[in-house]
Amino acid sequence: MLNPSLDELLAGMADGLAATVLPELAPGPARDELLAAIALTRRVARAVPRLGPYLHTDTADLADTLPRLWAAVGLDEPADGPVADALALARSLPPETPPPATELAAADLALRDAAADLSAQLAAGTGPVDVAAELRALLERLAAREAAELRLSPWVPLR
Amino acid sequence: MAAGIMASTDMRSGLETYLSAAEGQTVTVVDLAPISSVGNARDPWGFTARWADGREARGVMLVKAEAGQLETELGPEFHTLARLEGSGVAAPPALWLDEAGEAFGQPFFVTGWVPGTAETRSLRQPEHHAANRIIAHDLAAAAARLHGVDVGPFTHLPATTVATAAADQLALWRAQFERHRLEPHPGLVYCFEWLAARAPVAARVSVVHGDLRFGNLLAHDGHLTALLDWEMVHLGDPIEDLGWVYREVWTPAAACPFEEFLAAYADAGGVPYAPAHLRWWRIFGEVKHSVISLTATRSFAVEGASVRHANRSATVPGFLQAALALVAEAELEAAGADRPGAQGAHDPC
Repeated sequence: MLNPSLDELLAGMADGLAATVLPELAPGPARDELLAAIALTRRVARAVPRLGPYLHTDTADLADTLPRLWAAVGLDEPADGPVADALALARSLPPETPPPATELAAADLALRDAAADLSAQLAAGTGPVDVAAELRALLERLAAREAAELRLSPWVPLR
Repeated sequence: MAAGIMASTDMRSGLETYLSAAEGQTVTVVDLAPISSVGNARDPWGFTARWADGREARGVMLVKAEAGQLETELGPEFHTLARLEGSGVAAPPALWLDEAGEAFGQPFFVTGWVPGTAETRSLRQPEHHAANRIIAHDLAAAAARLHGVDVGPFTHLPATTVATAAADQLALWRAQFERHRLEPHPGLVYCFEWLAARAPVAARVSVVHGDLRFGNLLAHDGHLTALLDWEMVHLGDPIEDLGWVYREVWTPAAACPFEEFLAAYADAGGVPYAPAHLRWWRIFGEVKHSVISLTATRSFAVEGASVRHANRSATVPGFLQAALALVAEAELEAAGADRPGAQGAHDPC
C-alpha cells in the first residue's frame, strides 16, 4: 500500500481520534492520555518521511568524523564487530538499494556508542584540545540534527 | 472520570480513617478533589478536614505517582518541610505522612493549604511582566533565605561536604543516566565527563531545593507565598539552585533579567560565587533535566507508564545544545587564559 502513505495514515488516525473519540471523553486521565497519544501520533507522522534522510546524514557524519578522531588520539579503527559493520554500511552510502531504516538505525547506534566511548576519553581535558573541540562539534551536530529533523519533542509546537 | 471518582472515594475513606487515628478523634474529609498540576512525581488533591471538636482546615494531599520521570521517596520532602517551619522560608506546613501507603494503597503526605496559584502562562504575556518581576525578586530572596538555613537539623538528608557536594550530585544523576538510558547518548557522556573533571568546591553546604523555578511556587496578591515541589531537595552547593532557576524552558527572563535576579539574590544575603562556578551548575542543570527526560521515556517504554512520557527523551537534544554551548564558552575562556600574557588562574569551568 503506497496510498495513503505511512505519514498520511498516522495523521489521519490522529485526526479521526480527535474528531470522533475525544469529544466522547469527559475531562480526566483517559482524555489526557488520548490527547497525549493524538499529539504524539501527529509528531510521528511528521517525522516518518524525515527518518530515512536523517539517519543517512547522521550515520555518514559519524562515519566520516570518528575515524579522524581515532587517528588523532592514536586509536585504531575497529576491524570487526558492530562499529566496523556500521562503518562499512555508512561507507557504502548511497547504495543502489538503500538499506532498511532499521539497519541504518542500528549502524547509527553503534557509531554513537563509539562516540560515547571517545567522549569518555576526551572530555576530561587531558587529551589534545583540538581533537576534543572536533568531537564536541560532532556532538553539537548530532543534537542539532535530531532536534531540527525529527522534531519529536513534546515541547516543540506542532505547527 | 469514573476512575477519578472511584479514586477519590477510596482516598476519602482511607484518608478519614488515617487522620482519625493520627488525631485521636474522628476527622471528616470533605471537598476532596484533584488539583490541576503539570508535575509528575506527586498527584495533588485538595480537601477540607473537619475534626469532631469543631476545628476545620484546608489541606493538600500529595500522592506519590506510580511511575514517571522521577523516583523520589516522600520522607525527605515531608521532613524537610517540617524542619523548615519557623525558618522564614516560604513553604507549606507539613502535617501528616503515610509513607507506607496504609490509608488507601498509595503513599502520600499532607501539607497545609497556602493561598496562591502556580501557573506559568503569564511568563509569556507582557502585561504580566511587572507582576512577575516582583515575584522573581521574591524568589531570589526566598532562595537566599533557604540557602542560609542551618543544615544541622536536616539529618534525614544524605550528608555532603563543600568539597564533594558537586561530585555527589553528579554521581547520583550519572547513575540514574546509566540505569535509564535506552541508547548511548554520547553528548551526555561527554558532559558528565567534562563536569566530573571540573567539579567546583562549594562555599558552604545548604539545603538545596533541587527544582527551584517558576511553576514550582505559589503566588498570591502579587507575591510569592510558598515554594512547592520539594521532591529533589538535598544538602549541597546552593549555587545548584541558581543554575536551574533560569533554564530556557521556564525562564522568567522577559520579566526580570537573570542578572537582576542574581543581584536580588546577593542583596538578600545569598551565597557568593564565581561566574565559572555558576556556569558549571548551569551545564549540570541541562544534564540533569536530560536524565529526567530519559527516565520519563523509560517509564513509558519499559514500565508502560503514561503516553505523556513517551517522547520526553526527544527534549534531550535541545538541553544538550544548551549544555554544549556553555562548555564551548568555558573552553574558549580557558584557551584565552592559557595564552601568553593572559591574566588570572586557569579555570576551565
